[in-house]
Amino acid sequence: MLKNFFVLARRHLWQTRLYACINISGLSVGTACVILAALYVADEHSFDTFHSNNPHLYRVTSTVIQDGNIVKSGGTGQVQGPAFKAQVPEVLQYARLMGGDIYGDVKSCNKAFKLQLLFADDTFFNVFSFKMLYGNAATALKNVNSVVITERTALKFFNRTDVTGQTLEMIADPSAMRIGKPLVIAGVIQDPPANSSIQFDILFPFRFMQVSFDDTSWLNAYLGTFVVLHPKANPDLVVRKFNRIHEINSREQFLAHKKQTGSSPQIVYGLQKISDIHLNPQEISGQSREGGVINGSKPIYSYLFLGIALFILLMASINFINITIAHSLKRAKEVGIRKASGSSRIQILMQLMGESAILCIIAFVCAIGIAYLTIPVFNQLAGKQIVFKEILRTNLLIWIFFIFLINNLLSGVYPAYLLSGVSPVQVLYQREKLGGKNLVGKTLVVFQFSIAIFLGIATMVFYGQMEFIKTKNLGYNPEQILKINIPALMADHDIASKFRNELHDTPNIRQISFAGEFGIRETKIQDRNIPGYYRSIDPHYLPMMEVKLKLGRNFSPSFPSDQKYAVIVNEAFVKAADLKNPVGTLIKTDSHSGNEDFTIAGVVNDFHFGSFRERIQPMVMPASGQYGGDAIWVKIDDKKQKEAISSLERTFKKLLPGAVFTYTFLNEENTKHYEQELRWQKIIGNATALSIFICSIGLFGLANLSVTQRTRETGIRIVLGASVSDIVILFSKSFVKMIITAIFIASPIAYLLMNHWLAGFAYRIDITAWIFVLSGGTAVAIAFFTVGLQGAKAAGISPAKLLRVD
Amino acid sequence: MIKLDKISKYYPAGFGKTYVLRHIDLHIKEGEFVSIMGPSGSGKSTLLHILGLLEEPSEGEYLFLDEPVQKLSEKKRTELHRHHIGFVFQAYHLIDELTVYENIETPLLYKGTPSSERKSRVAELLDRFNMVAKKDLFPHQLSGGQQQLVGVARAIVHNPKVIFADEPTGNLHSEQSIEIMELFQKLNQEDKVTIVQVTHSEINAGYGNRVVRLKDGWLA
Repeated sequence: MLKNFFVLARRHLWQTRLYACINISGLSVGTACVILAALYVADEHSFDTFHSNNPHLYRVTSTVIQDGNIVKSGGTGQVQGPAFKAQVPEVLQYARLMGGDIYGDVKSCNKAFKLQLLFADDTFFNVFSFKMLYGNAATALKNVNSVVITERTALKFFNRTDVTGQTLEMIADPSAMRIGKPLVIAGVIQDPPANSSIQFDILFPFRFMQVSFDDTSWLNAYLGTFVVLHPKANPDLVVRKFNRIHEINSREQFLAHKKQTGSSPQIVYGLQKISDIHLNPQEISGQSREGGVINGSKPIYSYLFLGIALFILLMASINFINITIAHSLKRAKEVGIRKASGSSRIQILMQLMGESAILCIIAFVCAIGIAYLTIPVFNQLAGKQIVFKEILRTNLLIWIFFIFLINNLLSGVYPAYLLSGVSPVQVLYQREKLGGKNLVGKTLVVFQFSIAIFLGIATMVFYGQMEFIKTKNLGYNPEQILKINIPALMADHDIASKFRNELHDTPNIRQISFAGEFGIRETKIQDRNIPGYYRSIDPHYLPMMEVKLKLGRNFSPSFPSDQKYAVIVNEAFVKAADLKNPVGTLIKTDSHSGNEDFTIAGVVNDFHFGSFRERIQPMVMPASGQYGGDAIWVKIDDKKQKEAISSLERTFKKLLPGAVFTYTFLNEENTKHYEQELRWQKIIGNATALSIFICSIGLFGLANLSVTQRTRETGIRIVLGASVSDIVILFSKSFVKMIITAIFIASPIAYLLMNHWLAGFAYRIDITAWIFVLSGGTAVAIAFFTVGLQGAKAAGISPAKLLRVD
Repeated sequence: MIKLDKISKYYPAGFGKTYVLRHIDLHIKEGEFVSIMGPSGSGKSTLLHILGLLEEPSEGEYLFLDEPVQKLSEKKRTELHRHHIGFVFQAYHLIDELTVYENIETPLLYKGTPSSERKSRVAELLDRFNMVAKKDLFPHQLSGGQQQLVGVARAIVHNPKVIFADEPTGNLHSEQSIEIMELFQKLNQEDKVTIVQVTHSEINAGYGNRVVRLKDGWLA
């Protein structure tokens, strides 16, 4: 019996190999997508799980409530950690981390590199589980000038890893200058794993940073405080204790703050498991991410990946169901004969299910192969470093196989059920078609195409918005402008003119300017506070950027007082401050530059210095000579870029000995705002291509079957005078109808969802009708082409042959 | 009306060819009722298919209504087909999904006949063949004889000049056969339709006015 089953299954699959191929390729691609998505999700959830203090390792979070605004963040100040440890017995250990987005120039052996710095308490290795390769973890961070570096960093400097005792030198660092001693490598650790939220090249004692930056404020929230709680501790209770300690200790500071600013914020602490940080990073407010954790993600990405993959698998399953149903006419006769010879329905059901199981297992094996081969591409798309071996380590494979099994059962049962239910008399004597109008099959095709069209529309909207971002007039010209970072301590006020003097006869360099970015600061006009971006500039900046002056004047060397007392603002600032005659207005800033009183000298047209997600914010531009800056901005010719950059590097090394030369193009920096969008544009584009592929092969299979089944009819029609185009239309009509239905289903859903996505942009495109026309038209064209081709092929065969089939 | 000049049909077989028809010269005048007879495998059906433009000859010349068929474009040939040729098959070859009415109407659709004319023409035929009550039935709900009646009605609905019939009574019992053959005779005599049929039956051949015999692809 079993042998008979296999013989039959093999023969049947071989006979229908075209359909078997369609089924296997669709199912394996779909399953491969699910495997990759599952690997992605598993990786997302594996972040920071390697610490042996889990699940008792927490980060202290703080929620700031001020004027009705609630801001949650993972940030704390320097004082919380020690105070909590000292007064709450449940806190076994604590470690403060500062880093993530902090970089510094480090030198040794005549080599200098820009390294990612992390400042941590000497309890670091007790709290976190990073593997020490050389050196003693207990004492590695005890001395103020001892550091721990990663394997990667050791190799960079010394080409070997056993480098404890070697020295490094920090360039232009205030703490290093005060300490006056070189850094001694006290340990080398294994590189932090890719699924760690804590990433760094070099680890400093927290005290090292405190040498130049000691802070006792309870109101600050800029670094990460991690605590290990006693296994039996109740976190809620611990949090309550934290809040009480805070209340007692911060009272005076809050009173002083209220007196000074008039505002009285309230801070409430919380605890967040370290393993939850990756998917809920609660980044510390503003642009600076210095709380020690980076690479934050969102759960939505996991859902999206999994959702897309499951939909693709679903589409492949629909192919499977449809082709099997459509093909059942041929098999109906077989089933009829079997039943007439005494087979029970269950036996037939098992035979049919068994055959689909064989197909599915082949598909599953192919899927693993496909996933294995495509994982590098996927990693690039998803921005991950997933190793395929992961699939074995976790019980992921079982999980995926389970999904696969369910899917197969669902897609195998329906056709088998339908087919095993035929009455032998009906099929053997009356040639009745199974399934009648096949409403289920049609519905499934409509559903399948709805997804494909939806994805098509999404791709086009994504593409349209990204094109809009790329091509919209920014209000300035970012082309060929590069930014060279200058270490803060080396940036003296005439650094730009030094560069200019050195490079004045270099033909490829057009303009040089000195500027600095200072994030959001408060500006006071009379009694009103206006938050705005601070960017220091010099007289060359606006002409170089081609920013247009609307009112007043640019900074100028002929007004020496500009350096200290003048600012230029943008239109948004004028609007926010509601100024009638902005030029000449007095404003007050914080005491950053030693001076608080400025006069507005000019107003520039608004330009897009931020991302398109938010409206252009108010901007205040003091003079960089006095206010300071962090970068040299250079406009170069588009020809001979390389020469320009190398002459810049030569000058940089000459003027700033020891500093590491790094530069970014302004254009590249601008696209960094849209990293996630660009990534998803690619992912959705790929998903669309896959779904179109699966839809087309499914359609191809269905059309092929329908043509085969209607061979006789085609012959008769040709005999009756039908032309090739009549036959093509005959076959395409029903398919095109289904696709038009799909267009009407997919379009409104896509419109709503994509509008929701676009709502995240302050500057955006509108979804126009042509997007729907284009994606719908493409779908119809693909269907017409796939189906029509088969119809044309049938119509081209001599009708005598078509009729002889009977 | 039909003139075959040294028509041959062969298929490639290994290194050589298998001839189905050899050097057929045949002349059929308008208004004739010709029966093609011969044993199985003698090439009757192939000859009929060539005459009916369903197959192309390998060699020779075929003049249909004085036009050399081989030289006509696909489009022109379809035109000839649509306007002048009707086919009746042994296995009826009705379209299962269409009703009796729709089956009969199909050739008119392809010919591009206006709707009102189609209606009256189909109604006329249904009336003539006593099938008005059955017009909404599907083929499988009819007996073999009734299906073939529909087949004949469909073959003449567009007023063709010639009907090609491939063993039209092969699947029918004798009473039904007589009905169909009498119908053919009537069409030939009263409506002046040329008829070419392939048949095994001498009785059926007797309804016509000429017999063409084939043996092994040769005209006997």
